[in-house]
Amino acid sequence: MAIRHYHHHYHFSYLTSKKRHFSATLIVIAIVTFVFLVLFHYLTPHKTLDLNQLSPTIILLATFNTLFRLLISYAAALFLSIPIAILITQSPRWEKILLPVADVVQSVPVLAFFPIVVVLFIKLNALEGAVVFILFMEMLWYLVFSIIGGLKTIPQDILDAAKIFNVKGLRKLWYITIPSVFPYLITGSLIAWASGWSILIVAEALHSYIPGGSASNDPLGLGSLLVNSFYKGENALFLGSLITMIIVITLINFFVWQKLLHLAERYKFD
Amino acid sequence: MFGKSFCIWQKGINLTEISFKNVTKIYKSVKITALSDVSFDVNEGEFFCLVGPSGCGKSTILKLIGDIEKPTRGQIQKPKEVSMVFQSGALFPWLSVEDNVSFVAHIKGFPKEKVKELTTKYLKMVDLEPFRFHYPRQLSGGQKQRVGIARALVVEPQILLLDEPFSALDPVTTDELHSYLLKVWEETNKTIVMVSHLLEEAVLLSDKIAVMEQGKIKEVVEVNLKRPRKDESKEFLKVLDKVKITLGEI
Repeated sequence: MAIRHYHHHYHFSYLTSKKRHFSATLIVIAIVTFVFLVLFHYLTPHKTLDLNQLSPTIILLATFNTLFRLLISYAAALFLSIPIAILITQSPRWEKILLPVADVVQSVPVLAFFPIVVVLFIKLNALEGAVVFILFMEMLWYLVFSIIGGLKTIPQDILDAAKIFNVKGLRKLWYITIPSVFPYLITGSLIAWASGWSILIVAEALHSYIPGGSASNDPLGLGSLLVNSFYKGENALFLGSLITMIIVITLINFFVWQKLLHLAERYKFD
Repeated sequence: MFGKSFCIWQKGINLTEISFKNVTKIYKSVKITALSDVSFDVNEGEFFCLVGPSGCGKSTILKLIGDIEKPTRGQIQKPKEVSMVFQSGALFPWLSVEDNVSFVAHIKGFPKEKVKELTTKYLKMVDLEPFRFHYPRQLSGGQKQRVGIARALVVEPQILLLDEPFSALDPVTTDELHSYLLKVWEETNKTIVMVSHLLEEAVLLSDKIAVMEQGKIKEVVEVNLKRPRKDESKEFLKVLDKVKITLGEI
C-alpha cells in the first residue's frame, strides 16, 4: 500500500484521477496564477513608472507586472517552440531549411532588434508589447533548441513501439512525445527564464531608446524600477527592488524549477 | 504440452500465418539493401527464429512484419494483429508497470473493464503482479523484459515478434526468461517470430530456424526435438551443428 500511495501521488497517467494528477495540478496552478496576474495587471493604476510616486509599496506592483510579462512571454515562446521543433525534426527536408535559419536567427543578439521594435510598438502605442516581444525573442530559441535536442534523443525502440502499438497523431504527441522531451523542456525553460530575468532591466527601461524619452515612458516593473530608482538616487528603493528580485527568483527556483527538475528524472530514458 | 499439440492439430498444422514472397527492402536514405528477394512461410502457432550475423536483415524482417517498415518490392501476407518485444524493453519510464501494460490495451480501444482484466491476467502470467505499481527503473533487466512480454500480449496479437529480447541479460536470467517465454507460448498459442544471435537459444526454443546471411535466407532448419529440450543431448547438438554449418561457423 505504501508503494501504491507513493507512486500514485506523482503520477502521470491517463488512468489516474485528476485529483491525483500532478501534471494537471501544476497546469491548474499555472493557469490560476496567470489569470490572477492578468487581472492584477489590468486593474493596476500604475501602467508606467511615475518617478514622483516612488514608494516601497510600488515594488510589489512592479513585481507582479514583471512576472506577468515574463509569464506571457514564456507562454507565447512555449506555444510556438513546440510546433517549430516538431516541424524541424519531423522531416529531413524541413530540417535542412529551418535548422540553419533558426541557428542564424538565434545567433543575432536580441537587443539588436530593440530600437526598431520599440519604434514600431511606440507607433502602435503598445510599449508593453515591446517588452514582451523582447522577452519572447530571448526565450524562444532556448526552448526550441532544447525541444529539438529532446526529440532527437527519443530512442528508436520507443518510436517503433509507438508505431507497432498504433499510438499516433495527437495521442502520440501527448503520451509519447511530450513526456519524452519533458526533461529537456524543463531544462530549456529554466534557461529561458534565467535569460528573461537577465535581459529584463534592458527590456523594461524603454526610455533610453525613445528620442527625448523619460522614465515615465517605462512600463512599471522590477527592471525599470531598478534602473530609475538608481538614477534618481533612491538607494533604499533600489536596494529593496534588488532584494525583491533575488527573493522572487529564489522562490521560483525552489518551488517551481527544483520540483520540476526532480519530477523530470522520472521521464528520462535509461 | 498436449494442449499445444491439440490446438495445432485442430487449426491444421500447415496453415500459413506469415508469408514473404520475393521481398526486397532497400533503405534509400542510407542506400543499403537490407533484404534481397527473401521468401519464407511461418505457420500458425509456430515458433520461428531468425539467426545470422549482425546486419544480415533479421530485424528488418521483424519491422516488415510489424509494419514499422514497408517493403521496397515483393509481397507480405500476415494478420493485422502483431505485437513486439524489443531488445531494450522500450518501456515508457514515466508509466508504472501496470500503466505500461494497460496503456497499449487502452490505445487498442478495449473497454476499461477488459483493459483491467487483461492487464492483471498477463502481469500474473509473467509473475509481476506484485510489481504493478513499480516504475521501470526500479526493475531488474529480466523483470523489464517480462513487462515487455506482458505489454506485447495484452493487445491479444496473433503474432508475437521478439527482437533479441534476452541479449543484454545474464545467463541465469536468460534461462529464466526462456521458461517464461515457452510458458506464454504454450498458454496463448501465439505464432512467435524471434530474432536471436545465440544459436543455442534458437535451437532450444524454435520449431524452425531461418539462417540468414547478407539479406538472404540461406536455409530454414527444422528443429524436430521434443520439449523441454536439453542443450547437452546428442540430438540437440546435432541440430546446433547443422545450423552452425549452414552459417559457415564450422
